[in-house]
Amino acid sequence: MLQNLYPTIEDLEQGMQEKKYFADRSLATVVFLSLKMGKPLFIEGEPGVGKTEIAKVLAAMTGGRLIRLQCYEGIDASMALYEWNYQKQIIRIKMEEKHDIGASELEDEIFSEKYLLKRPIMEAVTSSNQQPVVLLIDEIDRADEEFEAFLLEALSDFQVTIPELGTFKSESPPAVVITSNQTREVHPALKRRCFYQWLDYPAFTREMEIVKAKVVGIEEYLAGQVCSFMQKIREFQLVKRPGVAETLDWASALLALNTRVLSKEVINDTLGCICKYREDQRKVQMEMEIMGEKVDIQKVLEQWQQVHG
Amino acid sequence: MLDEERQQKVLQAIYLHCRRRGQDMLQNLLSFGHVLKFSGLDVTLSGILEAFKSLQYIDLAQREYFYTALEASFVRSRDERELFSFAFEQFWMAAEPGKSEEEIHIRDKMVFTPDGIPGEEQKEDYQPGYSADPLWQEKDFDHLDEDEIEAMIALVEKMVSRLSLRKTRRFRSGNKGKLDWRRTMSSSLRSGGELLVLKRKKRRKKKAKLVVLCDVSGSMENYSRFLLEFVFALQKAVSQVESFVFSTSIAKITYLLKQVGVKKALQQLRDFSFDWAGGTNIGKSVEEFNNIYAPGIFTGRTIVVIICDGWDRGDVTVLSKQMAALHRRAWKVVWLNPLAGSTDYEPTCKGMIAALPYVDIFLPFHNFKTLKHFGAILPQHLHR
Repeated sequence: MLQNLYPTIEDLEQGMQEKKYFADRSLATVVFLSLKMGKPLFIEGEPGVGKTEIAKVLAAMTGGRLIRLQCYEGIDASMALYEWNYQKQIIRIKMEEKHDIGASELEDEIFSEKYLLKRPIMEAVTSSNQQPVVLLIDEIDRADEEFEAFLLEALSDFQVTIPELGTFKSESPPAVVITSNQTREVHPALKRRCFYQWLDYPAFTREMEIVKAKVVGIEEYLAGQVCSFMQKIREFQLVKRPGVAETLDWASALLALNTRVLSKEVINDTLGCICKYREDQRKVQMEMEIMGEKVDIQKVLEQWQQVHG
Repeated sequence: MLDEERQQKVLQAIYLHCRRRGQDMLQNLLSFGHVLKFSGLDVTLSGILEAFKSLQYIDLAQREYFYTALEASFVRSRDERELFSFAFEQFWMAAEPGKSEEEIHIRDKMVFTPDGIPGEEQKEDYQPGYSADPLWQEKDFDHLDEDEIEAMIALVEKMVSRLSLRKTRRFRSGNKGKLDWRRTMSSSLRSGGELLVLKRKKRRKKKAKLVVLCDVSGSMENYSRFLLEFVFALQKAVSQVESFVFSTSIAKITYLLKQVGVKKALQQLRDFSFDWAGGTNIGKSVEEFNNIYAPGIFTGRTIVVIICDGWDRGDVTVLSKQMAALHRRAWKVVWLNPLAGSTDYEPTCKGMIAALPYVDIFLPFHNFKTLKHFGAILPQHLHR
């Protein structure tokens, strides 16, 4: 269903832009191929760069459902697939002690779908038969190799077998997006199954587009200053380089404070939006001392020339 | 920019598997796949076929799409993109030249080894059979030449990735997780067999964090390149590793390593005149660590690994005091000493003597054998 909505890469790019996601040609191509061929999309990149957003946007574009499997350390198959609702089953059994339903009838009942806790992957399999589904497997690097192996299997058939209930198969498999923050190397076997894309921080013009689209009401000049400052800041050796999410937070904050122009004072006051580590904040402040304000403004004007000239 | 050696490798590969006139796309793609594989990428036959399949969905005339489609199929990490880009440029050059033209073009760029043109004798997977050689295993790190270092690093990476650094399979009781029938039933005995309380068990997932402090001062100079490669491999395989280097002061390099890799990181440290070949001031470095970095780092169980030969020019009382403080906060302190190789080693330098009382595990660390030993011990301590 999803794959036929956007016949060309340009259409897909257009569709994404309408949902305020500005992908570059390379990303749009990979997303396109992933949809057409039914292969999962494996996106790696720094935090805050828009990896999770893609899945959300894809779901929005199709009017379908986004099902999210958030990986964490220690996650195992049962947390991803399904679990029986033991409490409910036990209560049911207790209730039946007074009456005289046969054992097998009771068994049929407590092992029915009502008593099944469907976890994301199972949910994706069953829902995909009714509506388009985008399955987001977020931060796979937080899970372990064992879980990756399980995932590999699950993603190849999109079929879940529950001994008591039978086999559930997906007739039109969901689009799958897997993200990783690269805190560790994910096993090649999983990557081989997917189309890979490394998501970098956006370039100046693209970041401008994003800011202007998402921070409604912001002035061109301020947006330009914000973006060029962010570009500069990402060159520093920071503990955590700020992503697009931080840019947007900062821009919104500045807008709320009715800022027209960036100055050292304003930056110092609002540094908490961009740098969440004291070490980083100190570093930025130090660099600003070295850079001096003049350089900033000049750079902004330069960038502006590039965009408008 | 891709470094010289890797460029050469790619060019060699292209020489062996170049595009030929008259070949169709699939055949060319197969050759390209070989080139990438020879250059170190993880390429499989099915991968090449999948890449081929993907081409039917794009406009082949547009180079940009063609590039992206292939990149998405063959590249598996950020670091590989540079290599892929270079290989792509060289392989799918503009027009379709005849073989002879292309040959000449490539030959111009290649650097010929003294033996002549690298040919079919060159094995596809260049793996020196060192790992089995006991002599090589015992060769001291500071006696390795560049090729040997590369080979050693490859081995280290393999070893590190094979470390059983997974969670334990042991369970412990808790409120979340799978149903623990045994405990549920036995607790139901209290209520005469009525199942009132559900007991659960979840996997014990105590994973410790690793902090590595590596001495890169003068006396350790020959080891530093290699040690950092080891640290970097650890960083990649184990989540939650923080890496530091020190000589007369300390610097955190976790992120730097991730960004630019070991060679460039060392270069940068040298360029920023991180006190390189001077003496070591272990006490001051550990003090800096304790004051500046420790607060954010000791969350939960942390194993601190110090790689240092113990030679110290600083104040011994400071060293003692700081090591004590470190020891108090860390779960375990491991000291890897390149000098402790010989069986009759006795720590005679005052730095080492001062630090020793605060070290839980003291190991030699000067060749592959000792490295393996450390690697064998590590998992036990990471999961308790």
